[in-house]
Amino acid sequence: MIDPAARFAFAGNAFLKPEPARLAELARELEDEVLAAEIERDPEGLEKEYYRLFLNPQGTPCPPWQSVHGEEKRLMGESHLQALEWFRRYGVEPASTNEPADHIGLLLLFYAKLLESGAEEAELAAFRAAHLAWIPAFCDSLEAQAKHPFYAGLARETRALIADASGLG
Amino acid sequence: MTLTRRDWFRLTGAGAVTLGGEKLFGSFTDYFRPAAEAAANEQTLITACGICDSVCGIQATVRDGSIRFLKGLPGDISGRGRLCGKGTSGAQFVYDPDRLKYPMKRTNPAKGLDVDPGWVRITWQEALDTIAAKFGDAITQYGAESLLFISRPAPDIWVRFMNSIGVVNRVDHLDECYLSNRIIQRYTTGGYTWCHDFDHSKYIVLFGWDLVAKTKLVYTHGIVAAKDSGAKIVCFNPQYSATARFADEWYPIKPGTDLAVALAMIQVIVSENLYNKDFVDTYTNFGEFEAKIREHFQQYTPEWAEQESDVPAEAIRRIAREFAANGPAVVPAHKKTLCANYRNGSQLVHAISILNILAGTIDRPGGRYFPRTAEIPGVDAVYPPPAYPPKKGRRVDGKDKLPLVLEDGGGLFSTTADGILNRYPGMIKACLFNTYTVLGFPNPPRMFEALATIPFVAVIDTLPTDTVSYADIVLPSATYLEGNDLVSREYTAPYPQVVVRQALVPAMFETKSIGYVALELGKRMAPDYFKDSAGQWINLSTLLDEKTKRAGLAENFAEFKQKGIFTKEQPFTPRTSFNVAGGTKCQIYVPQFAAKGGDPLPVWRTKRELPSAEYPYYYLTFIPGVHKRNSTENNPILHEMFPTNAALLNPKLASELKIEEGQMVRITSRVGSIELPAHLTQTVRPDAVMVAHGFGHRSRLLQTAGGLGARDGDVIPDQTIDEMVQSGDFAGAAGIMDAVVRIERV
Repeated sequence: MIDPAARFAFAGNAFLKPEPARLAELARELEDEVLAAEIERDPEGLEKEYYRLFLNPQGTPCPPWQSVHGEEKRLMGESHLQALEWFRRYGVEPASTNEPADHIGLLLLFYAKLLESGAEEAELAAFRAAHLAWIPAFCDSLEAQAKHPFYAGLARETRALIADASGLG
Repeated sequence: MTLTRRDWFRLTGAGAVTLGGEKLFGSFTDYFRPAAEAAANEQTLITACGICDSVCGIQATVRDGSIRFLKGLPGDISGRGRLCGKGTSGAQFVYDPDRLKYPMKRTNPAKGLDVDPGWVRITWQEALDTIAAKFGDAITQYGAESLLFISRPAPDIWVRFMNSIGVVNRVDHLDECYLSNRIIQRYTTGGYTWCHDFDHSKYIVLFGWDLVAKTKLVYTHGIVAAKDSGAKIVCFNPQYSATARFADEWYPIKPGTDLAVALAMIQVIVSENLYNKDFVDTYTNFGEFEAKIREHFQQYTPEWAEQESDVPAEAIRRIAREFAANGPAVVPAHKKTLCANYRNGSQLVHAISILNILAGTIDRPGGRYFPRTAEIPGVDAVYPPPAYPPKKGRRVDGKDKLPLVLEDGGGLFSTTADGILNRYPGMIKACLFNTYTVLGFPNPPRMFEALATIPFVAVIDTLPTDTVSYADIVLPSATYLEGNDLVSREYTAPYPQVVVRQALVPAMFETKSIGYVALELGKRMAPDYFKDSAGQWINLSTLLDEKTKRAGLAENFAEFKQKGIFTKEQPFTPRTSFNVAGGTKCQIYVPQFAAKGGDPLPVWRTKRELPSAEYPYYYLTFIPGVHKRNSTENNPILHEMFPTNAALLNPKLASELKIEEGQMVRITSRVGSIELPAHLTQTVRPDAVMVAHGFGHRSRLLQTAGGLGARDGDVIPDQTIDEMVQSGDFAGAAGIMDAVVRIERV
């Protein structure tokens, strides 16, 4: 079985940038040839679908930032500040200073890093409660709206990963 | 195991991972970096709002790179230490999840509201290179007339960019709202001003302007102060607006007949010799043209005006007399209310100018005055440019047929679509939308049709607009809370005041300022105009430092950011010489208008379309006080206050048409129809329907505003330049409220 930390890291990367060549490489590190082949089948379509879903200049169907899904419905809300606090406790900050810290990709990648570095379950559970709990519903919406199989699959995989991590799997 | 700070970076790449994962975990350093020692403290910064032209001063609380709270700035003469709802919720613009974030290009050449453009992200370099190449090719092959800029004339470096490449086709909403007023003021009272000293007015007559609900604070504070100190306020408006409720007297005037009342007021004041004799004799051309003036206005009796307007003659006569006797009196001349609304708007502005002249309050306490502004040099003063190329080419909006409009330099919103489609089909090869949406045009479907004929369209904006659906390249612009500038008071300026505009936070994502876009496109397309005297590229920070220093605000911009505000209190010295085109006296009778295709004195003209058997009702639009045009509906806070539009109908009319509250109705004019729910209200005349402007965004993916409401413009006819000329509208009013409609249950 593949280490869940690595799978979280893959999901984080997939949400952060649509770089098919790189994602295929990462999929091979996961020893998932099927996924790598799926990524390489239609790299251009994958890239366009990413922009349509997450960075659409006509309005974003699936905004990938946590605070948009909270009460505030905007960027840089409380969950951004809380994510920054979490990151700083571990001595890190997002490399980009003018984008929200609660991007789904950053949160998943950070969680992967927590797992990888052997954080205690209480710590993991606290992070999940604070920053991953919104993601399953987001994944439902993503799966419903995705027109490219990679993103529908990413939605299912991410939802399953979080369910497993929360002992619900 | 307990991790301490910094551990992660020491461990990165060396983590004991069960299964390789070198790249998977290595990616962590692509997205994270070592944290700064301490989070940034909470700061209070001074800046200026940018939602409306009040540009009120702001005190902002910023914590850790995030805007937390905005409030008014003490000592600011515009907002008077307060902000309106739009201003207070301004951070919502910066943090709108839908905002444009990165430069994008379309990969699907097919365009339309329901076509997936196949967006991909590109670099700024590629975006700017592409736009410069497309525009450059168009100029080389077809001349500068092939470019259309739908853009406001600001900032100064943007104007330089347009001048440097010889743009002749430019329109923006300021033209729609200001044009007639600019032209008339230039020839009647001299210069062009929006300053009204309401605080000292004793009698205020408002034609349509709902300045209380609009919360353009610079005016709202003034009229409230006037009322507090006992001024009388008279309001003519077909709608029982917030201002109507606030006024001492309200007349539900027949739509588009304000001109009749204004002409009759002049008739009373002139025929009864009630005007301010000292002012009129000394500072105006009344004496020179007295016979003509007296003779001309004889026809416009209050009894005649009553027939046109539904306002009782007795009331008009009494109000005219009170206006003349109980000064200082003023008739404010606002923008949309006057010029954009009705075809006879230019005549109305002239009549209003005359009323203010007769009251003797031009540049006098309690009247309309000229701003005492701080002198901030523009880019052309700091870096004098080589001579600009002559403006050559056909005008797509046909403004060359109206000499006074051509002389002004503005453009005509309402004739642009027809120009692109019919007058000069195929002439426009490339178009740039700077912070505009097609929703602002009369008859947006026609403008979409026109846009679809333009081979290359670039859009610079903050939020997705329906225009983006037709763009080849989209550039994301920074908001006013992410930019730097010097804001000189122009809407209320009894003495000079400048407020800093400073970036509260770094511009989000890859957004850039409009100034940056102008400079970068300019460097590519007309490099000689974007260098300093030493041959180096102009630098925007250096330019701002230089402006700050030359204006005497501070040694440099960084120093002025600390001060935040510059005020030079000085006594108000009324003008004794008026900077009127062609003279020094205010002009009631304007001989230049006669020479340039206009009317030397205002004449009665009806609105463009009158109710008929087929279209029996007036169609009126308004902008809700919590919104600004079509730019705020995606703001969740403002959305909650005014979420969507409805067809506002008087219960009497609703009952005749058998329409009940909430029922869907169809409003149809000769150009189109919209469907929306009815809302029954006594606040509108029984022969009219009112619809709020700014809704009906087809960018359905917008989180808040997408797909909500109806697009009011769909029933408003655009026009041809020939229609405009034939109608006698010599100063280019847009006729936004001229439509008539029928109303039926769906």
